[in-house]
Amino acid sequence: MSITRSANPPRSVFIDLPLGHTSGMPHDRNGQRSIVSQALIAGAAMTEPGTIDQLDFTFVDDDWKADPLSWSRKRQSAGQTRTRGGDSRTGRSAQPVFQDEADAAAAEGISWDEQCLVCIGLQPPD
Amino acid sequence: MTSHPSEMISGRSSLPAADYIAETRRLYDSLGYDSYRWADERATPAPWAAIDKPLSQSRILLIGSGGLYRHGQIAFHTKDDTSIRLIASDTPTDELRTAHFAYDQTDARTDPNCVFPLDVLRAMVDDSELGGLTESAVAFMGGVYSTRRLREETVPLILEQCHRQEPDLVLLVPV
Repeated sequence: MSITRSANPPRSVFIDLPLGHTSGMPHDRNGQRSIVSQALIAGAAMTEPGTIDQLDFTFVDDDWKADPLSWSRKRQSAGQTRTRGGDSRTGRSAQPVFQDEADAAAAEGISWDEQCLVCIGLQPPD
Repeated sequence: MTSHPSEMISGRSSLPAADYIAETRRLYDSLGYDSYRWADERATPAPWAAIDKPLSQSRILLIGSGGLYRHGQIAFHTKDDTSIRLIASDTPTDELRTAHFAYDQTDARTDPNCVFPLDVLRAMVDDSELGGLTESAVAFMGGVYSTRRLREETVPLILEQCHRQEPDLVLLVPV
């Protein structure tokens, strides 16, 4: 909410779920649909620039709020969400961070001319 | 078919909303970093455009900052990558991938709808709750530490798509 308020968008809704779950929990199609639908309806109904509505959704386990920046599914599975996780960000890389090797190979197989139609703002390879 | 019980409950939490600015300050202090300088637009009046169509007749452009790319596309790098990816709105969800460094991607990689609700929007179109989707959605990797570069490099690319794709409404899903 503090970040949204700082950015001051014209219409916004705040959803109080763990980082990485802006539009809901995995495979929870009903919950995801409720969030997106309510967000669009609320946004369309706003009449004042800078309005922030909070949608009433709660993560089933409030433990994540003890450490919202580094709550993670893995740590939850390991029963570690009651302890602070410190810095959970991964290192940054100047090279593309493919999810798996098959993605890297598939991207390699597509010509630059095709890539630059969908990957906009990349520098062409030397 | 495995059942996936919902991990959300309707109704507001009894705890206050997570304060990510305060949490980030605390983390950076503990790491000995300089304070992160958040974009602060509170003194700038938010721009406003009236909505003149019902949702059921509106074309939606989805924009997500979760680092989504499609299998076959070049993944984002994570050192201030300011480029964008066009994701055709009919892309099968199992071809969506994520590249980011600042959030736990486990769930987004299990189901991209957590941060990029394409299936959800398509279902809403099928049910006539929305008029349609633009030809492509837009994805970028929001972990860019330079507000200036975001404003000067990424924003113009996104704005160009906002004009080219001719949406009635834009849904920005930040991470």
